[in-house]
Amino acid sequence: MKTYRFFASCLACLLPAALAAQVTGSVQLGGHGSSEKDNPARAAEYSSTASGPDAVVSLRAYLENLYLELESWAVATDRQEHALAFELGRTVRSHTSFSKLPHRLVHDSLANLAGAVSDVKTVYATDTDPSARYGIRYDQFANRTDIQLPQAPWLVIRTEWREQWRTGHMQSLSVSHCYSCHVVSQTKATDQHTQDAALSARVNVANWLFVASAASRDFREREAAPTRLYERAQHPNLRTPLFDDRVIFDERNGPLPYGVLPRQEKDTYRFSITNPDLLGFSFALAYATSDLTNQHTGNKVSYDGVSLSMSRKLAPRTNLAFYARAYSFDSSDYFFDSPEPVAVAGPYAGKTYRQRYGFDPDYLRRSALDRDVVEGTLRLSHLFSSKASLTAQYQARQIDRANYEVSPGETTTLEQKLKVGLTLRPNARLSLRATAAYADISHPFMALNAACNPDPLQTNPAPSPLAPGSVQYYQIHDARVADLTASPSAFKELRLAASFQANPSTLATLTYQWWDGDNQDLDLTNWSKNTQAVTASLTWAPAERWQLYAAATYGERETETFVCIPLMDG
Amino acid sequence: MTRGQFGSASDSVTDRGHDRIFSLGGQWKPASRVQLAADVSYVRSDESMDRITFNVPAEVLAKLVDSIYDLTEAHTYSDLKLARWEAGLEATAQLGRGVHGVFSYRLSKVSDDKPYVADLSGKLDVVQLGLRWTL
Repeated sequence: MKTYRFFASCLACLLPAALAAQVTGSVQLGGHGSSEKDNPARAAEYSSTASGPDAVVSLRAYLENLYLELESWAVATDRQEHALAFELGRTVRSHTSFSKLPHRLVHDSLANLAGAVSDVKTVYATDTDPSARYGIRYDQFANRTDIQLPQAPWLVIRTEWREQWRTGHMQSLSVSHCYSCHVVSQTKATDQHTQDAALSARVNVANWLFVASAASRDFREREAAPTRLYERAQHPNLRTPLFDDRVIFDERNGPLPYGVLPRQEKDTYRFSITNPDLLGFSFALAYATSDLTNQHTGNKVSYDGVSLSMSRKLAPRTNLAFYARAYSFDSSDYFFDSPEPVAVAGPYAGKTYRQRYGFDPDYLRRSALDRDVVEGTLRLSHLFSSKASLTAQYQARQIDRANYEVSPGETTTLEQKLKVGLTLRPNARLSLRATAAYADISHPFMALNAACNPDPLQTNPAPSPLAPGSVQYYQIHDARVADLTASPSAFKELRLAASFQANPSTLATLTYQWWDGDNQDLDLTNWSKNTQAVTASLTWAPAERWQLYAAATYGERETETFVCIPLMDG
Repeated sequence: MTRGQFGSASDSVTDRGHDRIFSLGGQWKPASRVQLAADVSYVRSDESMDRITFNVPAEVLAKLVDSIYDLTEAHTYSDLKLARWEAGLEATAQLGRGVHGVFSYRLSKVSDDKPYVADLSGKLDVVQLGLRWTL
């Protein structure tokens, strides 16, 4: 329906123009046939698999004070691109587009949950819709209109409007505990709608450009979340309700929603000042602030950021550029007051888990993303001659996290990177580029005490997990001592590129890149990563009617990481 | 809750991946009214991990009556081997003044030799025929 409305609008605009003015362009009508085999989730991930008529239209109409342009490409009901642009004198410039795109999604068979175990007892899965093919259709409408009145040519007012729809079906998974991990797959309908509106003003006075904008986004999932009746927690062998005090919801709560997408609103305000020549410097200063609000809980994430960019020539062949930015994230805290059911059977009937073991399940959630960041780049480039230039660059970034430690008592990460680049052009046919970089990261991101408890907590097996003295999972969790990460404390980087113009019709290029990093700050574990890739390409146009290209890439990567699991009988 | 807890077992493992990409294409105008274009690309990626080896003492294993801690095949879960072919042919012929005939064929083929969450092997062929009028 949205497509027809858009087409009708386009034709209503273009038809009078076509009758009254010079129209150029092309119209293509045809048809296509498609056939698919096996699983189209990857082979046709973003393609239509329908057969039928198709059309391509590219038209431009010129009137005295009006210019119209229509680009339209329609392959199927789920794969289309349309765009309509017009200019009314020099006063109004507008661009409107509408697109449709399918996205096929993979259906997880859940067979991998069994791993290599033939007789699985602790994990099993149920797919309630095993033959379903999942996918969503992505539709987007966008309009951008600039208004520049002849009486005030120094002012441009811009309005922007965008709507996005994501409709279809996807797989949703839920898991219940704890006599076994029962994973259930259900088909979930989705109807997500995102609406963006923005208004901005650009003021150009002398060398100064001022831009101010306000934008608002609204996101809604209009389909209900799927529900699950979670099984009663039971002893894995006895199948009796011995664990009621350890699971905060089960079948006694009735069907419960999961995978809930709350309504969200985001308001963003930006302001920037630029001047290409301020005391010899090019100058740009920008400020942005935004609030993202979860309309269901009222939780909020706030962002504030300011950036400064300056550059100037120090000498006829030497240029200096500087960029700095400071920004912060601040999120609402959230207190989770856990339900604390009592045990209905076993030796602790009538008691909650806290009453039996002294464990407090309530917690205050404070975001690990809350942080203050300051970063800067200083780049000096010098042109030795028309055949050689050198660039040296220093980058630094300090991340101070509000609620997350990356080392005992330390919340701050300092990243420093030095990069040197050399460009050579020994002759008119050959061009060479080399860039080398070294980075040092002090207190890189890691999870402290996230794995391994080398010392046994209970070497004499208890007769039952419910017997006095039995080690609890939270005690194993608290006893972990080893750090884990996927971030380097230092890395080296090298990039080489060469291009050779053998003759006016033949160009060959060769590039190589290498990255090697590791983390030496971990206490008991290790992490390292190495990647490299080489690409060769050849473009050849032996005659006016012939043009050929060929390219080949080989890449490899290697990551060393640490695996650690508790040895327990539970 | 446990019946016994005997510390932990660990290993350092390495994961390796490789990508190979090859593409070839060109345009040819065999006659003044005919233009041909063709392209083909091939991408192959694989991923594999070392076997995880936990050195758990025999006396500890003897106490772990409900757990075997046999992860000798766990590394195979990470095995990935995927290949993709993309090929296309386009032909345009001028049939008259301002009128062109257009033909195209497109093939997308995926071969999943180590399926993980699902077997992603599949193929899509599309043949298209049309007439284009230039105003």
